This record gives sequence, C-alpha cells and structure tokens, in this order.
Amino acid sequence: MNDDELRREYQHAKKTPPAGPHPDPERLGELVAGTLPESERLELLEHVLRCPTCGPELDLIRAASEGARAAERRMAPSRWMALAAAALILVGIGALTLRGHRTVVPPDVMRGGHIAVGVIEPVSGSTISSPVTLAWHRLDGAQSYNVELLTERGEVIQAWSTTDTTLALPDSLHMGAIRSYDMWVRAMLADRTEVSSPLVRFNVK
Amino acid sequence: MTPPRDSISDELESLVTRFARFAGRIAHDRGLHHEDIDELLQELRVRFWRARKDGLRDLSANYVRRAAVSAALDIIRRRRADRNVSLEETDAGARPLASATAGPAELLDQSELAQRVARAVDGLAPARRTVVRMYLDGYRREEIAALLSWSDAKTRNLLYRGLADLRAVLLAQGIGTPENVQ
Repeated sequence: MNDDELRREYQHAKKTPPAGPHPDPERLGELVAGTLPESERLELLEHVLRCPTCGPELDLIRAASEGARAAERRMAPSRWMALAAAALILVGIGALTLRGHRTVVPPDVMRGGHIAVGVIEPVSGSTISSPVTLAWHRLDGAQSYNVELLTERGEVIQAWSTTDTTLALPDSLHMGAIRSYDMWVRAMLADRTEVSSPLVRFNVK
Repeated sequence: MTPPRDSISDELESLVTRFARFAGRIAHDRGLHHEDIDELLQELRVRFWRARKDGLRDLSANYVRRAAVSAALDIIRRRRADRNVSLEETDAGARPLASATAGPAELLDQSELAQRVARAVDGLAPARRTVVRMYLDGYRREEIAALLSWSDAKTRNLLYRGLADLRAVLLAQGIGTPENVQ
C-alpha cells in the first residue's frame, strides 16, 4: 500500500476516545508550546491523536499559536510596541461594534476598505512559471514599497524595498523549490506610515 | 461606531487579517469549522479591549501569542462544559470543536481493511507510532517535527522506519505487496 492508500484507510477507521480522562486544555497548550518532556509529549499525543474531541482541540490551539506567530513575523520589532498599543484601541472598538455578530474571515479573503495597495501580478491562487515578476498598482503619496516573499507558514524568504511598482525576483531564489508562496506589498508614505496589500498566495510550477 | 481610520489602523487591520488568515489555514487543513476561528478572533479582540481598559501598556508580540492561546483554551473549556451539561440534561451533547464524525465517509461502515490498518498502527513502537499516526492523520512533516520538538532529520527517520514497520505488519497479514516494504 502506498502512503495515500494507508492514509485513506487510517482516516476511514473510526476514532474512539481512549480509556481514561481527557487531558486538561492547559496540557494541550503546553504540548503546542513545546514545554513538555518527550515522554509526556508522546503519551499525550497518543491520546489526542486517537480521540475525536481532543484532536480538534489541539488543532485550535495550534491555529491560535501559529496565527499569532505569523502576525508577529509581519512586524518589525521596533514597530510592534506602537502598533500593539494601537491594537488595543482599534480592536477594542471593533469588539464593541461587532459583538454579537459573526465576523468570519475566510483564509483567502481580506476585509474590504482598509487595504489600499492592489496587487496586479501574481493573481491570487494562480500557478505561474519562473522567472516570477511581481507587479502592483501605484499608490498616491507612496515614497517606496516594501515587498515581502513568504512561505505559506508566514516565514519571510526575502524582503525588498523599491520605488518601482514591479519587481523581478532573482534566479538565486530558485522559485519553484517550494510549491506555494505568499507575497504582499507595503507602501511607505511620506509621514512614515504604511499601507498594505492583501496577502497573495500563488504557486510556482 | 466606526473604528478610527489611519495608517496605523490600516496596518493593524492587516495584522489581524494575517492572524485570521494563518489561523484559518490550519483550521482549513485540519477540518475545523470557520466558526471556531471566528470565535477565536472575537475572543482575541475582547482580550485586547480588556487589556486596554485595565491600562496594560507593556503589550509585546509574546503577549499576543499568549493571549491567542489562552483564548483558544477558554473556548475549549467552554465547549467541554457545554458538552457535559448537554449530556446530563438531554443526552444530545453540544457540538464538539470539529465535525469529527460528520464526513460522508464516516456515514459508511468502516471497512475491515481500515480497522486492520488502525490496529497495525496501534502495535508500533511508541515514538514511531506517534509520528506515523500524525502523518496518516494528514499532518505535514514540519508540523509533526514542531509538535514533537524533533529535528527534521529525526522526524524523517522515525517516520520512514515507522511506515516500513507498518507495511511489514500488514504484509504479514497478506495486505500489500513486498516491494512497498523497505
């Protein structure tokens, strides 16, 4: 049986909660934080991976941890504190106005109205060939553009600053070595503030 | 009431969106409901707002990560409590975090082959068993390495050996072909 066949059969087998109590949520948090010794990690995972309720709980904690980590990677350390203070005001008001409403943000959809830099190439979700050229709409008042190329986990592969609105990625990046990339552009304005494009996911053949 | 519009709020909104996007990606990969990530976002926003009210000024990136994880833990505690109450009152049970039993495949009787594969995995040596379980459950290799705090080389090695053990066990039961067993 190849890996896909094994995976299909394994996932088809019904999960039943193992004997004994479910681990406390805090222990699942420690598992994600990597603070447990190996024997405990293995013991805990043996329950979680067999348990139909604990498995999704672990994934929710992972989603929270990775989401925060990815958001943090976006920030230059010097900017983080100022923005974090502003975060308190902005999302606080947002919480007041949005409380009681669902605000689902699908992974590939940005909330409208706040993003001013439009990416032209690549088109989100497209598969393109190397060499890769990025292009975006000029933004009035922009003095330069910071462009980031990231892995799908949010790790910055390389960042550039340019006054142009296109950027040809150098061959040295070996685009296509991994399948999926994210990119986004931040326009740097005269008052030293920034305006961002959405994250654009694309694949390279 | 409309949030103030300035470049900071624009960038902040992209930060929050980025959180949602990456958290949403894991949720999507793992079959979690969008509503669960939505609830996580709401919890996080409320936490920030409370922190502001309490006059917290020393808000670091590390704080945001801890806040996000503790928000997830609160959701889990709430769901567990709801589930227990529902079970006591109506026997119906509250919805768990994900539709672990809702897929079309789950509506069919699990095949005998599926049961035999699952039992063969149960019999693997502990470290190999864990990495094989995660791999077959759909976790990517880097996710496995991160959760187990292993190097990529160690993860790859134990996964390779674990899968070979699994195939050997299955082959002994007449399942599979020798060329797949290394």
